Amino acid sequence: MTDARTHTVDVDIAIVGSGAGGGTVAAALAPLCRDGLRVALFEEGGRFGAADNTRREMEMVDRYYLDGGGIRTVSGEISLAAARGVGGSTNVYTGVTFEPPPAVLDKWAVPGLDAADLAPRLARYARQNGVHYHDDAEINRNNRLFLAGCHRLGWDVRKFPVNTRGCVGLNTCNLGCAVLAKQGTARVQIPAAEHAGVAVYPHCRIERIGDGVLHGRADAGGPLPAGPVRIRARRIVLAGGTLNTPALLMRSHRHWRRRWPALGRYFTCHPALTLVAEHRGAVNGSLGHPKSYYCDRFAARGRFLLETCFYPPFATARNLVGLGPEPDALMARMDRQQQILALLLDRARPDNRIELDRAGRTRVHYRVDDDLRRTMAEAIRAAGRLFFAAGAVRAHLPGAPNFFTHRRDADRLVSRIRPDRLAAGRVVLSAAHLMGGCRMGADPATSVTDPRGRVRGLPGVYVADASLFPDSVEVNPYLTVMALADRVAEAVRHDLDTGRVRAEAAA
Amino acid sequence: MSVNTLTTMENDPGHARPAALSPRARVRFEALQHTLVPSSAAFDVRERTAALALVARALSRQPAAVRRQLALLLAAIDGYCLLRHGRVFRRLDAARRRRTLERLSTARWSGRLRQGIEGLTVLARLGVYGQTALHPHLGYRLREVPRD
Repeated sequence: MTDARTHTVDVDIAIVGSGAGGGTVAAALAPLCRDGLRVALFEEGGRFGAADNTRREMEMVDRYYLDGGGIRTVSGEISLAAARGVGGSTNVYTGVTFEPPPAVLDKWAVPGLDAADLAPRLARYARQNGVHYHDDAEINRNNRLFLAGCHRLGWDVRKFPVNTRGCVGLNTCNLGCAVLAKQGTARVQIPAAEHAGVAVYPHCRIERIGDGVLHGRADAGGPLPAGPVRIRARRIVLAGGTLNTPALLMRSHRHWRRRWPALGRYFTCHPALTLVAEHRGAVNGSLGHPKSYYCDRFAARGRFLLETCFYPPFATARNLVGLGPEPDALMARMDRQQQILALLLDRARPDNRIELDRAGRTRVHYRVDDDLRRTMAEAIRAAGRLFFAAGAVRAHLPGAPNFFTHRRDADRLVSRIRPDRLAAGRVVLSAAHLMGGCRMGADPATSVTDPRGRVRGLPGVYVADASLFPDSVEVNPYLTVMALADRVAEAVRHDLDTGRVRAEAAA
Repeated sequence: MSVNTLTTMENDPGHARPAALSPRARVRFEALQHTLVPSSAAFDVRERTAALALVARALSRQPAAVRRQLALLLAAIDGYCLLRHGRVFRRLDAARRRRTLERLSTARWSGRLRQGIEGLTVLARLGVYGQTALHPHLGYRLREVPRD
């Protein structure tokens, strides 16, 4: 339904969302503008420069994160973070770069998707986005303590590749970079796409998709008049992220859930524990880049990764379990804190899913089962060992009988940290790596798109974000999203060349 | 400017929002906040005002139903204390206040109540640790942004 106030935009290719997926597709399809095709990118959030990134925690959380960064799963056990704004989540990641492990690609079993296919794409985006290793001199004490702890325990430890240029160690990567050092899509792919002729429409939220038409709403502050908009397009690429893309399809037609039994299902994430310890002397983890090292020793058997991290005060405090003077005491000396992020590697399951409530808002069902609680306990014990090996005097380790576990108990972590003490309400889990819901694959019963991101039964519609993942990627996902988006862009170009969409529509 | 007026505003001047907590709910919330985050009990007027403004701002983004649920939870905690101890929460001594919240936060008999206490804890911490002006006092220092 449209009314007289509805503003119409006609394009050849509409891309919804501008993060790692949408921004990559925009750049990959930008050369088509030279042939006279109109390519446009639509983004719900605004467009922000260095001066807008004030580093004030709550102001930046409001600006960049959906629902203030705390979208609770229905059970209330996990708080999910997803970002908006031109550049999407690449505005607020730390720039940590991983290639998808070949074993994961084997498990995904998507026809045509293998390490050989992805390797040149991964290499190209790593090069374009300036992926490199930080010099040792740039690494702060929070990270060096992690390194020292791993060395003392005899654990393998690796340095993160990061995609920064001109990083000065401001530390507030998750609040947007105040010197724009991170080379996300807002810095690299989207400017290149615009230069080649792609139009960018911030402040424009797309809510539904019809027959070659997108329906949405433009907010004040963007290039479109505020009010309802419809976008007519020959090709549509959905890249609004794992929470938005399945929801957009569900919102569009009430029977579409039946058309794709897997729509919204097989959602997964990396449930994460932020663990905090206190040292006797200053650590000053807030000075310098927050993430330099990780330990993947437990990834294969233990199903978790340990990474360095350092979060601002409220983000740190909301992860503490307990009340009263102990959390206050820990927070009063942030300069002495060492922080470790434990990323739990959980499998995608059909019951973990995205749904809509009666008002059309996204709801996420995610079950934290006993296996995951055992993994949590293992991860907390490992982080505890690492803290104490690094010299911490006490640590806040959920699952232990008291708020603080002291160094004298370092040898008793197995008996102290118990999975049954990690029930709902006794542990705080958050997740920023959201995956699945429009999974790709060969089987229509368990996937929404074909292996190239084409939505089955909707000619000319594609998906190009982490919702494509058939299962967890088990590492930080942005580079994998970019490589998959590149494959999707290739499919769009191929279909344009061969007239495949016209043929499908006629059929 | 009074605390009541300030709690109805965004931190950013000029962005007025509807009041998120009634005066009675605010009194109940502050008593709970002093137990959840004891350092908040020592706030001066400016810090207290800033804390309530942050909470009001977070609540104003939520649907009206969530604000109603919060008001109900605050009243329910007082009701529970009245039944158990014969006094409302803010009239209990510090040890009883803490025990009450610990009991409710791990209640196996009501997941919704437990979630409510978790939400309340997040709000209480937001009011304290969300204040940028307090960050240097926590030892959270940041490098200056280079000027050129």
